[in-house]
Amino acid sequence: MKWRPAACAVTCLLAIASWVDAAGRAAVLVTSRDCAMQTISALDIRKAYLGIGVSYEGLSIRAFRLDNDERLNQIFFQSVVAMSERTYERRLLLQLLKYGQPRIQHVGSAGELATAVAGSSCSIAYMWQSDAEEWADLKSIKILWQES
Amino acid sequence: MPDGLQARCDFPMLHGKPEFRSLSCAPFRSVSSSALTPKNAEILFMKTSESIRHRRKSWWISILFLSSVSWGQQESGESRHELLFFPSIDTFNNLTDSNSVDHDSFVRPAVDVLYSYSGDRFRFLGEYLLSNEESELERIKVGWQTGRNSMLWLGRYHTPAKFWTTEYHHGQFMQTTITRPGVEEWEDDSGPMPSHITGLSLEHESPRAGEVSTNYGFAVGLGPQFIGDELVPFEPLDPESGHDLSVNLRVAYKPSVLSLSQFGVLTAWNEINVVSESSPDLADLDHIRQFTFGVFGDWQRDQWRLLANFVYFNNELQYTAAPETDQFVAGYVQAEYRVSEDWTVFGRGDIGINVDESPYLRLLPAFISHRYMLGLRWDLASFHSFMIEIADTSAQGDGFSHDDFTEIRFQWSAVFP
Repeated sequence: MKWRPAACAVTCLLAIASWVDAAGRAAVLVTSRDCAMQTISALDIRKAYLGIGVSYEGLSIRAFRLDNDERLNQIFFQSVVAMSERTYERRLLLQLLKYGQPRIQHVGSAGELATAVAGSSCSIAYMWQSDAEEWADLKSIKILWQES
Repeated sequence: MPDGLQARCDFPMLHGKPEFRSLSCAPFRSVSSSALTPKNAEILFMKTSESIRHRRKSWWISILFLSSVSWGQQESGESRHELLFFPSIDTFNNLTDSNSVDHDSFVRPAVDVLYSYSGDRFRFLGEYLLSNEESELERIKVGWQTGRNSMLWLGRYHTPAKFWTTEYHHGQFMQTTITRPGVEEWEDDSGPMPSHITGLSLEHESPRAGEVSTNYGFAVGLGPQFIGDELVPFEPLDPESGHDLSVNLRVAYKPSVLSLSQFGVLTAWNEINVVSESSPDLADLDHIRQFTFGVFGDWQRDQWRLLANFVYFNNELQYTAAPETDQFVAGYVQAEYRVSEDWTVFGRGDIGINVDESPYLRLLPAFISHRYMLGLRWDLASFHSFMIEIADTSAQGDGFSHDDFTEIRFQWSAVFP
């Protein structure tokens, strides 16, 4: 019984901390720091993720996706490409079948994503803002979604 | 020359079959004269020719693939491979007593294999279809990105003047329905116009203000021959003479590059040589000059999709006695409604003007001149689907008689990985 007040206090503190963390959570679009691109339109982001050619100063913009974050992918389908996962995957399959164009590349972790983006100038990827800030080679160029 | 092989340049033409002409000087294994009866000789020649042809095909595929990959690697540090499998199992039941052998019930398992290699500006694409009825290299082409939105291709590809064919190719899973419209059928299913040509093609996308764009597809190459009761495309890995020119153009307007809706025109000029001795119906027919002009639309909004394509045909049948001109219009309208994410109902009418009287279509007895079809598609998981179709169908049949029947089809199709 004597632990009950302490347990309640810890639970409340954790709940408040997670709420504060979630409230500040944002999904951002990143590119490599050596790319001069400062921002990109929502239309161009959608085009890039649908496999439609988009370029910046002559450089073809390559898009990457993250595999293992369900919440982030939900945001991607709702806010970036605005279609269901099934419809999106079929769009990419059609491009491959028609033009032999490879599908958007997936990577398994934020670290791999950061390496892929940093290694391909002016390529883009979406990630949590907190993750993006950990990588010096990356810069955030657009907020895709923010928790209200 | 290796032991046991000798050159035979004096082997006679067997029944005048054109497919052996290019191999009349091919080397083959020697046999004792007592075993070489005329029948044995024919079988031996055919087997040897096939063997040489297959070896030659394998070599060509290997050389083309390896050179394209090494070329691509020189061009770009970043390269990507994709390998896809489109398996399907079809069942077809003819519910009407029909005399036609072209429309017997069947079960057909098939798999379409698609391989793509992509470098920075270089691309290679191959598509191979294997089923219990055929095994064919459908597409093999190498492409070079000539500009920001332009791609030049060389090889064997699907003609841009056929809408359905260039949208879905052999990827059965990607099309909503089981059947293709009659006018969009492949050559070996009595398709009335070429589906495969071998040569050069250029694709260009011209972005306009906002999301609008216009796409152009132009192709020039060798088209099919008319042999027996079907068009037979040029085989790039087994080249023979006798194929003539095919020129194709397609222009498509896309109101939004983000949507799949598009509207456009298609046109083609095909010079089709006829192998007159391959069928009594083709006796005295030397050549077919075919001009086609079509309009198509693919409109998608919310749960609805409407597809339509109508093609005007002008065929000049060059008989030795007197040429005959033939004109008709063939097309279809297909409507789809997505009831939910998993279920889609659809229907299609294959219709035409003057198709029943066309002397050209009478040469294609399995051509579907009319079909009124209803169907249902269930998408299971992300990449599996089951479909059912029921239809009242009228095939061209032999002579002036049509072959009318009711059909029911089931299909499972998928894509991996």
